[in-house]
Amino acid sequence: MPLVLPDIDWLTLAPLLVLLSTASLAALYALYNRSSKAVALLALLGLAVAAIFNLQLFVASRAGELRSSFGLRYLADQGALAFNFVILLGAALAILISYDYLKRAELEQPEYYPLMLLSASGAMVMAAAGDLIILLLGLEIMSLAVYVLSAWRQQARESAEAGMKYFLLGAFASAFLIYGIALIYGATGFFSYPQIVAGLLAEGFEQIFLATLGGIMILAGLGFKVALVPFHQWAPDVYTGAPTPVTAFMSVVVKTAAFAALLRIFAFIYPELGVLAVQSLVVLIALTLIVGNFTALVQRGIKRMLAYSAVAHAGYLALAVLAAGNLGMRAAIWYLTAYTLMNAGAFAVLTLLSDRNDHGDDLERFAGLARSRPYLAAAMTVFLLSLAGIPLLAGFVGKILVFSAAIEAGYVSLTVIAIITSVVAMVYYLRPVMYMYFREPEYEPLQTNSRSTHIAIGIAVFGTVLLGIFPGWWYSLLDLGQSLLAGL
Amino acid sequence: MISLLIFLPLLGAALMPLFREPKAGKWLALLISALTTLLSLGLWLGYDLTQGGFQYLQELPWIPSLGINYIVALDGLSLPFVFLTALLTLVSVLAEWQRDDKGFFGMFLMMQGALIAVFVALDLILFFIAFELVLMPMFFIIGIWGYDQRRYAALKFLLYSLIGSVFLLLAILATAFIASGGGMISFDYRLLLTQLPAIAAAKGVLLLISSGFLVAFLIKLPAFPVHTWLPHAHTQAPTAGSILLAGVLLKMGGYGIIRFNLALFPEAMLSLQPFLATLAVIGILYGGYVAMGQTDLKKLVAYSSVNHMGFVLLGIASLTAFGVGGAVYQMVAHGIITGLMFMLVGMMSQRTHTRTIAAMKGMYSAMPVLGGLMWLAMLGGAGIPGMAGFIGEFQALLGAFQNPATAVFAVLSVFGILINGGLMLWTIQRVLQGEPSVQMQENYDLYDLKGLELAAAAPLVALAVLWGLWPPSLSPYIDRAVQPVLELVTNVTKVAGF
Amino acid sequence: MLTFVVLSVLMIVGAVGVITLKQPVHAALSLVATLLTLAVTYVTLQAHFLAAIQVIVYAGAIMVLFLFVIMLLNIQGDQPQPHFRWMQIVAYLTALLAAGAIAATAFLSPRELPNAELMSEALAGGGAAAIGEALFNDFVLAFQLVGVLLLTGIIGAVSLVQRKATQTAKDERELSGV
Repeated sequence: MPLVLPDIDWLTLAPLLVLLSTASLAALYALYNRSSKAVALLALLGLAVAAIFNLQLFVASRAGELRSSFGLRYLADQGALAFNFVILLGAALAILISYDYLKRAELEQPEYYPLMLLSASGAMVMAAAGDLIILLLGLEIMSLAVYVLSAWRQQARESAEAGMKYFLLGAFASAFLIYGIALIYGATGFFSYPQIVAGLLAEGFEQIFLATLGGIMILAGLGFKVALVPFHQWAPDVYTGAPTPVTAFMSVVVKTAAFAALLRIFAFIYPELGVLAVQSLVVLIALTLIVGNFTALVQRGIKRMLAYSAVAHAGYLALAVLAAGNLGMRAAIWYLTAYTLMNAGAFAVLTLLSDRNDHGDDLERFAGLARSRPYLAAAMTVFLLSLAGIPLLAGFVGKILVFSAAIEAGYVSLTVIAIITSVVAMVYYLRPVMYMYFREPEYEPLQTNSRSTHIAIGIAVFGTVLLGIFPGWWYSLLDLGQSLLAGL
Repeated sequence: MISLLIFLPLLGAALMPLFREPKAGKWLALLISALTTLLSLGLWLGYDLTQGGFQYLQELPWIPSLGINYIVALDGLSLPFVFLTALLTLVSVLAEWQRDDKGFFGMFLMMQGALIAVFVALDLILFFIAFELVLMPMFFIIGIWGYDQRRYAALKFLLYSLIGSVFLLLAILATAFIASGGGMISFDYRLLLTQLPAIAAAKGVLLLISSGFLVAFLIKLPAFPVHTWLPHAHTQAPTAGSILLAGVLLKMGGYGIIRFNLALFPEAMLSLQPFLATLAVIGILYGGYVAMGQTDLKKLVAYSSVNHMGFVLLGIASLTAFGVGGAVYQMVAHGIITGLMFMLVGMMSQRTHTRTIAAMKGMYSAMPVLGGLMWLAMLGGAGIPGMAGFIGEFQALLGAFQNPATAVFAVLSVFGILINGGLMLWTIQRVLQGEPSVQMQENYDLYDLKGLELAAAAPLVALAVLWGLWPPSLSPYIDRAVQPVLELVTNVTKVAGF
Repeated sequence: MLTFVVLSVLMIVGAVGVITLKQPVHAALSLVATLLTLAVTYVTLQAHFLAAIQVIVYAGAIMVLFLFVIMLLNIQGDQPQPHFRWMQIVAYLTALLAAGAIAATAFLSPRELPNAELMSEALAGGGAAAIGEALFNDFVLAFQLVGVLLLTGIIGAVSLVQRKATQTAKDERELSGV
């Protein structure tokens, strides 16, 4: 029997391989040298090199060159590459935030950084996956590392609980995903997207119910990762319990990857499934928007509020998923870029305000911050206002893009819900701002400073404002006339 | 040129944190607001009236793939407001000269830039962005530098406005999508004007979309049921905040209704006419009546604004050239006169350390210049002939009489004039006449207006009188811009067979 | 067909046992039953290699590990008192509903089995060759990624345990220092 070699395009894999080998190197290096600094720098270097390769691929893909590996199972199309940028950015910000935080909280251990890189590479696999099995494995690699990271503060009950809860519910969600994959495989006999679609469209196909059920199961599994209501129950506890930089990582990178995967299968497979699969997402989005925003309204702790706000943002993003196709895809990528910057930025500010046990994120701590730490307060205000969707900041443009995409796709009533709930959102985002500016300090503010965190905050502020004032360039970079998704 | 008007203040606001010296802030603010005032005056004088339409057009791509562009231009409708914004900012800076707070003046510059952008934007999304952007500085100005209940007032102001903005955004998106007719989306106002038949064809949602715009603008104006944010915001804001709030922020509502509701949805305006006129009359009567009962001088002025804005709405609802022109005139006049009033109230309460009407007595005899100007402002507020307020109110009322559909409302609102006139005279009697109480004389230094304060008041007084005595300096510009809009409305009326 | 029905019923009973039995040891044994029946099902489908792997890896190695842990930690079955009785009922109802829906979907659109001859040809010799070919050709990326997954697991587990060890040592030092 002749052995057929699989087609491997090394350049396609380069960003992933760079991250993986950096992670392995870092883990090995950590055996001999326990210095966190070297490992963290190595990790950042790895991210930078991966970004350079990614850029090269991106330029090539803009020139119309569509690369893929393993017979369309690992794609390097424009969508995947754009998502890769977002993932790399999110991971870099998280590492910058982590460095001094870990030292302060006495949680320093060099294995932290390789785990983060591994998680990011899992995320990249998800974004590039053109095959359900690859998607599943990417998701597992990403999640497994995050389970460990969220339990990093083991001696604290809530962190251990966060890790455990995330792990158990995550495993449960994976079961849903696997079952869904199995059902789709059972119905069509294939794992890879183009083949599944071909199977679904084939003459005499009678398994549409089975496939639709599989599609709904997959939606539930991925819905868990992005925290769509009612699969969001884990989010507040895990977000609050996990160390803040890990929360930042979770809220941006994990969400980006899960949405990348969701967008791709939604654009490819779901149109061919029964209408029930799409309808169930509509219901989930409506629930997410309402529950997420209204629950966030009654939170006292900023971290918990941000957790619910992350749920609400998942709703806005899912709106773009509904409008799958180029417009929705571009809107989602744009929104995720903005979201990564502003959310990671907000968590970065939180790390500087909470004490070494990660306490002190309640609203009262923010009172009078404008006077005691004006620059930090200003940065936090930028992030919160951007999350709230105030014009000239990135969040606003993201919302406009998503809403236009949704209206274009015909989901007007859902857009109305989204816009109305975004007013509710304003209230809870503005509350900390009001505390910072309109009140006198109640506590002696912590004068924690950290150069790396400041760099991260600087990048985030700059990005949020830049994307808010000049949104066009990044949006037009995502413009490619043809489908953003290769393969079909 | 117009962009300079927007970005010069914004740049100033951005530079503000770089100064170490707290005093530098107000000098920068003064410099920039004086420059923009001169510039806007220059633009006004340079506006070619015979040609009319949008001039000084500037167009830059922003998010071209979504049809969102940076388009700004001036026409007769926006010219007075742009000038008003620049002038009132300058006046506010002078009125608050005793403050040494960079942040305060930074916020003012930011607001000035955003306000000018509101009045010159010809792209609906750009307009929305500016409309929203105005809120933030005002929110901080009330919340940080306001009086005791500032937090509540700031939040209330913001929430009311944001609720309006939500409907505005929805309506803007919907309008653009309907007008695009499945083709390329565009938010260009001029392009939308050419698509009026397409918009009008969407019968089912037309009223809904037009109400979306209307809600946002009525809240801003403010019209009767949604006016409740205004007294709080006005009384809690610092003096300069009140000046800009009353002088310019409220005008965004009237401007918006004329610019968008009238021009884009003439049919809907026609069917909403009785509703709007009713709101207007309620605002006129109710605003005047409630103002009577106020014990706080600043609150009194605030409620009288509700009364004045009622005339604006009535003028617009009349859908006649006379009425709409009068509404615009009234808005400009109100900006000048009420701005002056708020400034004088601020100066007065700064000296007497109170705003209670009962405690202030005989202010005229204690401070003749301040009291005299207050006399003038109050009479202007009452709408006596010879002051700018008279022309606006008269014209708006006349317009309402012209249209049989609104004549009844015009009759009713005449009572509003009486109430308002009585209110102002009564206030003059209570605050200005007589001798100040002994306690007041002993405890506080009731010094008269100083040079800088006089300089701040002078342009407002001059304009209030100029536009009262010589309307041709203002109304041709307004009429030139209002005329084409009303042609659209009359077209509809003809088609509908009214 | 009959064998399949019998085996599936056994499998489902075993799976239900895993989550309902209170004693961890019983639950683990119930899991063994499920895994073994699955292996037998593989045999009936001619997939001998897969069946062997199933027995060795799952029913063998992994279950032994499970039982070891249970016995080492001496876990006793506890009787958790549910806080919300109604929640339990809702959960049962939802589960039944979901199971019903899935069964309905499966039975409403039954699918013809692939050609038996073709299948046994493909799986000739127990299927080791076929699996190998699939694994190192179509699924080579997946195969590699599983490796990465295991690496992640190892690094994660080691770092968690190691931290606990260093933390304990530090605590002890501090205690003795006092």
